[in-house]
Amino acid sequence: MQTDATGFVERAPRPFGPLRGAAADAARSLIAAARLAWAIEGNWTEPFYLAAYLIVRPLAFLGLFLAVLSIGGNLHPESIGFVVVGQAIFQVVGAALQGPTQALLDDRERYRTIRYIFTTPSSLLPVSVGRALVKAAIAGISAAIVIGVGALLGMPLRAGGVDLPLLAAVLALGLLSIVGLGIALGAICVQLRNDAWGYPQAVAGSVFLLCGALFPLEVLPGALRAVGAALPITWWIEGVRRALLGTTSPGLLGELPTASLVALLFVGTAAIWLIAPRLFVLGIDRARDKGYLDRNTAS
Amino acid sequence: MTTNPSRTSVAAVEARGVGRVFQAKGGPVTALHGIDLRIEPGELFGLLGPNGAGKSTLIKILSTLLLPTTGGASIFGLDVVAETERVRRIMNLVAGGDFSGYGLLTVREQLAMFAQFYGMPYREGMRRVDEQIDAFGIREIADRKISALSTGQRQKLNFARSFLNDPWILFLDEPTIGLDVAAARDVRERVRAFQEAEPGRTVLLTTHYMAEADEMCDRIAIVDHGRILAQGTPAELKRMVQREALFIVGVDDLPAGVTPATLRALPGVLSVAVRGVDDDGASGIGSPITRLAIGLREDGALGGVISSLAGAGAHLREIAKSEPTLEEVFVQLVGRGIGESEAEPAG
Amino acid sequence: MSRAAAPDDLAVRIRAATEWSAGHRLRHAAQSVAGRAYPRIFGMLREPSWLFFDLVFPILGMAAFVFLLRSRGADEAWISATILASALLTFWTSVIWMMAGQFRWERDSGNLTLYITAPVGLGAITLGMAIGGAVGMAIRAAIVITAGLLLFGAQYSVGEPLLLLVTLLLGVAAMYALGACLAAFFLVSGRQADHLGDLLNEPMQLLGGLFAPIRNLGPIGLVAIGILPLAPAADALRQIAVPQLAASGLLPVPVELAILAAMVVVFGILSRHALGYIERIGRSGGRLLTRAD
Repeated sequence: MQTDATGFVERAPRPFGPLRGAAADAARSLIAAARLAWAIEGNWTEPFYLAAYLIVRPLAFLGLFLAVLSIGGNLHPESIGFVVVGQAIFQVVGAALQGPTQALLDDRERYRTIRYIFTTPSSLLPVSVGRALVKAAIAGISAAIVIGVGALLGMPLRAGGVDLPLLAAVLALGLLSIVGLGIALGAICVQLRNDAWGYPQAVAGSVFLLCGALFPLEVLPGALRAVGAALPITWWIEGVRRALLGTTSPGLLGELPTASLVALLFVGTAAIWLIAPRLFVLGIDRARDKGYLDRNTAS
Repeated sequence: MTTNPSRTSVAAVEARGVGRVFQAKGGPVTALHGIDLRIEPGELFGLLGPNGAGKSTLIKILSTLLLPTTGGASIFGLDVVAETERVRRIMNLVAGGDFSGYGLLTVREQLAMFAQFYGMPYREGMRRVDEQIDAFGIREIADRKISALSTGQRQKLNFARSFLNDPWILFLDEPTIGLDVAAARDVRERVRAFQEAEPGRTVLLTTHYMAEADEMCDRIAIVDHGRILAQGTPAELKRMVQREALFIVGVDDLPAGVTPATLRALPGVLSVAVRGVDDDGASGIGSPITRLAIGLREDGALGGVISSLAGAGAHLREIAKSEPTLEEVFVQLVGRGIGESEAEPAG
Repeated sequence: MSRAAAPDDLAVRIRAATEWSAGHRLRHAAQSVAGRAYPRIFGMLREPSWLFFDLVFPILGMAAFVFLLRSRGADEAWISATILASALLTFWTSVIWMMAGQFRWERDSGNLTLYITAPVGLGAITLGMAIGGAVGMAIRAAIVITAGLLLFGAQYSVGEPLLLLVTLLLGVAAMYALGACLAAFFLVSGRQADHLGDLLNEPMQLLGGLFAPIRNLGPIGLVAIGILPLAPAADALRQIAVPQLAASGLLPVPVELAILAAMVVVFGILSRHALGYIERIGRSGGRLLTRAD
């Protein structure tokens, strides 16, 4: 160990320099948080609730939408496919968007551990990302079940089979983009005193309306349509539909070439990850300065 | 404090062989083993014991929150199991560390709500609410939301609520836990004032603060592992540990001819021991002080000892009565301190 | 300090103080109900964020279904029905979270201890919660319908307003009576209650025929309409308020009203027994009614 002039022991020199050490710390925190989230979120020890959350609830949602869809006339397989894919992907969107906020608030108010995590050398950023990724992964199981049920209901898959490279690309980019949005939202919500829990749900609900998950963007009024068309989540869902179903959405979104769609998603995701981590750190620092990190907002 | 109040025909609280067993995952847990207890009207009775002794379990049974597994209990002759509704009309309860209440309601609204729950006519209820707000000095926060109150303010609100229905029996389950010194003292004063305002009002207090029990209670029962180990006034309990009245007398020096043996020969003196010779810098003189521990049959015998010492020319520097604490009583009875678990050796 | 000896007639005085006349009991019951309803109605108005979320979520949900219907070219009458269903959903959501899940919160905060030891009774507390919740939600439901009228141009043709009101009142009463039963069940369920609340949301919207007629569920719909208050309430209200959709109803309105009335009675009786049961087992078991020490 090296000591400085005052006699204090310095950190042991890292073999590959400071950046590698920071990255290793972040990875370690992310993995630890992911393992924690896997244990907490999975209901693995309670099969009834596991089945209920992974299967029953998502399928009830799907059933609800299909029932409403049938009001307008006979259900065409294409319509079923449109709703099934949108609903499936939105399971993951909802989980990843709300996940970081829920994790921060859980740690602050339910488990009362945030002060202890914050005062470790680890940053809350990889911790939040790890929790969000696992929530999204668990929601991914629901998504896969929904798509499976959709296939049973006659959802037509893409002629020639699923476009796996496209699917992998859009899934990876989409997941990254939504986790980035989620951590930014978390940093904002942790500033709020009352009902911080409600805001991520409200945001997710609004996104659900605007991203073409349930109906084509053309149904929305002009201004809302423009907002929806600018969301990375919209491009993500469109990309998955093209990969799985081989169909495109009506309107301008459908006219976008697939390569351009993927490129847009890439640029959007990169932009999100340029801003979101900074926003997160700013938000957490502000919360710390204002004393929000350690309070309980329950009345 | 008085000695035992005269026994009346109907006890304020009577427990007859009260036992309570809880079913837990590892097997049944006996929280109370056949408790017999009688509290007279007008008493402030303390249940003193460590965490897990069974104090709260007993209070829950007496306050109709819990059913006994064996035995029975009554409050002013009303059976806590068969006449539950009637008991609830004349009792109230305050638990320490309590954060009950609706955060969005103001102090006044919360009290008004409970006035309704206790069946007071509306105007009478509002009058009582204002009365308690003034009695507890919380007028300036009366229109503040409960979520904005401090711990001490919440506890005052709790007490104000508990006095609304003028209960004949008040159960206080560790009421000063979490309160600062001033707030705790305030609570104790209000409880005393509450009792003094109406003869017959009875208070049953559980605590593990020895000093609180010593200061407040007419009688105390020491509880451990679901059993009452001893009960009596604080003085009676202390006499279990130390039968003689012990005084520490400090003199400059023992005069010639005065020895522990000569002092022991005085009437009423049971024991004399030299506690030590200290260089007492506190006096500012720096002169030695000899302290004698003198055990007397009764306090009145002290006069003879003082006269004897003074007559022999001793310069008296200090006189203090040394009493055992309830903690010493507890250790004597139980074999460990009130804060120690059984696994740890005492001391 | 000395205390005067208690009067000889103290026990007599105290026993007399515990004897309440029938009039006193009746007044006390009404006071208890009103007392408990108060925080529901007035307390909830003090938290603007609660009002915000109580409105945002139903309106977002409503918008999703409206746009979905429009994407399918459905008759505009279904838009009106969807908005009505969204308003009804506010009551159901309140039943799940503010009735069924309430006693757990009361226990954890220490309020349940105070209710048990006061001479008030869980029945009065529950009725107060129900009335307060229904009044609070009625305000929100009215706002949701207004939003629907303004945003989506819903249209209603109510030929029998009194019938509509009776249906709504019976539907709400039946829902809250079920909520009272669920309150006891959720308390016994412990932490599982949070999960149950989540699970009773969307599946109930489907089985309750809120946004799509329950007739489409076939035999399942027949069972649901006999068990879930939401089902007959939604079906009847749609038939009355949107006459163009009368043919979509599963049963005639008078039959559905009779079902709702029966539910009020049955769930009301069940809840009384359920609350008595939980107080009994709570006092015997020692863990249900008080938070862990």
